[in-house]
Amino acid sequence: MMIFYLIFCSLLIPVNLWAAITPHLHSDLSMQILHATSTLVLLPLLASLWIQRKHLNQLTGFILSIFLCVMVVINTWIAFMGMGVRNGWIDHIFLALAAASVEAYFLFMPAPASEKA
Amino acid sequence: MPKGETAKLKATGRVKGFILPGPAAKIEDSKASTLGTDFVASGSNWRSQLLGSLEGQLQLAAYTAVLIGFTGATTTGLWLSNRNQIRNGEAELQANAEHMSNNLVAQDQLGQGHSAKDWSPTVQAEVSRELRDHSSVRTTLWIELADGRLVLPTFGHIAIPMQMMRATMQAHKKDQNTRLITVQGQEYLTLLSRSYPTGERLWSSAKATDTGRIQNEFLGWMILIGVGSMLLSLVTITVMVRRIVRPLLQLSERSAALTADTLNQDPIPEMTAAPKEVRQLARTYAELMERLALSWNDQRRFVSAVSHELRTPLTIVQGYLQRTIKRSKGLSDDERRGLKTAEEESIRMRMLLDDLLDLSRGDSGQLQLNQELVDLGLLVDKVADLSRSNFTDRRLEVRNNIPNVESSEALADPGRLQQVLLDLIDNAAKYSAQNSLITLLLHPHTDGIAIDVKDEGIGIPESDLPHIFKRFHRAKNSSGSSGTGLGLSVVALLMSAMGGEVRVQSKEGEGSCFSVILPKPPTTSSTKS
Repeated sequence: MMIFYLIFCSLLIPVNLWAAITPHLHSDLSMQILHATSTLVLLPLLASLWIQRKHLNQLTGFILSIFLCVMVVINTWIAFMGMGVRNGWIDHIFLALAAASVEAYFLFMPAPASEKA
Repeated sequence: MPKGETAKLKATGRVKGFILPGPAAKIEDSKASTLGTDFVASGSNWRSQLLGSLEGQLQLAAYTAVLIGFTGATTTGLWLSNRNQIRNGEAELQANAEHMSNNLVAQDQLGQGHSAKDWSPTVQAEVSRELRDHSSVRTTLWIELADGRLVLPTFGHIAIPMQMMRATMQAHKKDQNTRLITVQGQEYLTLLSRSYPTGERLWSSAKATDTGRIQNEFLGWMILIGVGSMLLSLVTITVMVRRIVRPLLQLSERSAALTADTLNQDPIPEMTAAPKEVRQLARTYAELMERLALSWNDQRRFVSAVSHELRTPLTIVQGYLQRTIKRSKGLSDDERRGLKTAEEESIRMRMLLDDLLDLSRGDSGQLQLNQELVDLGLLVDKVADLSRSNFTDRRLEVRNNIPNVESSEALADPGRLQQVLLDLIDNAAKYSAQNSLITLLLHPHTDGIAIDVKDEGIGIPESDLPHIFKRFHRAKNSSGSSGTGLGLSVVALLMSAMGGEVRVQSKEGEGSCFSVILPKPPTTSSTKS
């Protein structure tokens, strides 16, 4: 399940980059779906950051949490309100970064003590 | 086996892992740790699947490489396609505007020699015609005069896109670098082609070509190629990793199956299909095994030779000490006590040498034991009598639970069995308090007949129980008593050589119970059955 989640997140990286480069390629609905999906995949990471907060580097955890919270709020709004956001391509770049951070976090975070044992 | 017949029994390997000699025991330990790692790696959690194995890691690396390549190629392709479209449009517009500007300058209608006053209706009409000549269905050129009026191309049936013109000029006022604007859902590429000293500005714009379909097609192909490459690389990686890992697993299995006996018996086969590095590893490993086998043989021979050489002088010393104590007159109490201590130590040393010799013989397969019918009831009584005289400060109780109708005979070497029982009683006495009870219990067992040696001593910690029969292993709580850690390994070796086994049950602080189990003679069991 987790592997499929990671594969799905990794596929959102190129999709968001395409969306950033070709704003005229997608329809309003597809844009809303992309923003909504890209927001949803960030929630497990936010939950994990909260659960693992005592075992993580505080600065990294804090910066990542703030970034993800901002992304979730902004993109939830875009998902409901639709297109027409000024400089929307920057948002897609950040969504690609957020998806990359999901990969980096789950692949490189320290293994829980139970797994080490 | 007929009574009295001497059986040459190979001890090593007959009882579970715990009697493996030193190096083999280490190999056994490494096997256990490898199995532990394998267990973790084969767990169901995703981290172990992905990062816990070579195959998973390489698959992840291949996936990442293909994804990065795919993302880079598609993103760059789309970006270049967009950029080229704009640049080509720009170049076309610029060339068109340049050509028209040159014409107007040549006709003195724009440029240096021209002033704002010269814009008569005739000139405007001529310039409008020129603008029309350079405009088309997609391209529009117009001139903004210094006072803000516009000179437009004179179109026949084509409508002049006034909204786009105003939007273009407003956009450029806000941001001079504006190139693409959208008016009524249509994208335009706009350009301020030239500004003249007299204040006129030449504008040009072109409808942007809709490349969505082409880009979608491009993306479709790229996705197809990307997914294909990813699957192909994952399959290739899996096949290659299995090719690399298979000989390593073989090597691991061979290592796990190694014992002191098989060190130089089963050479590691040549792995011709394996990669060069793995073949090299296998060769190095085989050489290591050879060296280990040589070293183990040397060590065995050394222990055997030293034990033999020391035994004779020690026996002489012991004999002289005994004789001196018995026959010498006029010895003071201190001298007699000193000689007695020396005699006891020589006996202890001889027992240690005997243990070493037995282990050495067991390792080399030269341990010779008699297999004969022994009445265990009589033997236990004899051992109890001997022990009572040795351990006067311990209570020793013998119980025989074998029903009268059953025989208490079993197959064993009586001398060696006596040694085993004395060792176990000695052990029980060593680790229990004075006046504590040591029980010898003879009872029937599913595998034959069992003799339990039960004490009320310090017991064995649970963590030590699996290792208690290993050589030189001593329980954590045994530091208060002297010992080499060889006694129980010799017991296990002898029991194994007699075709029986020894088991232990213990709880720290509550005492231990060692059970010696011996097989009944085959004739007896067949009669019963």
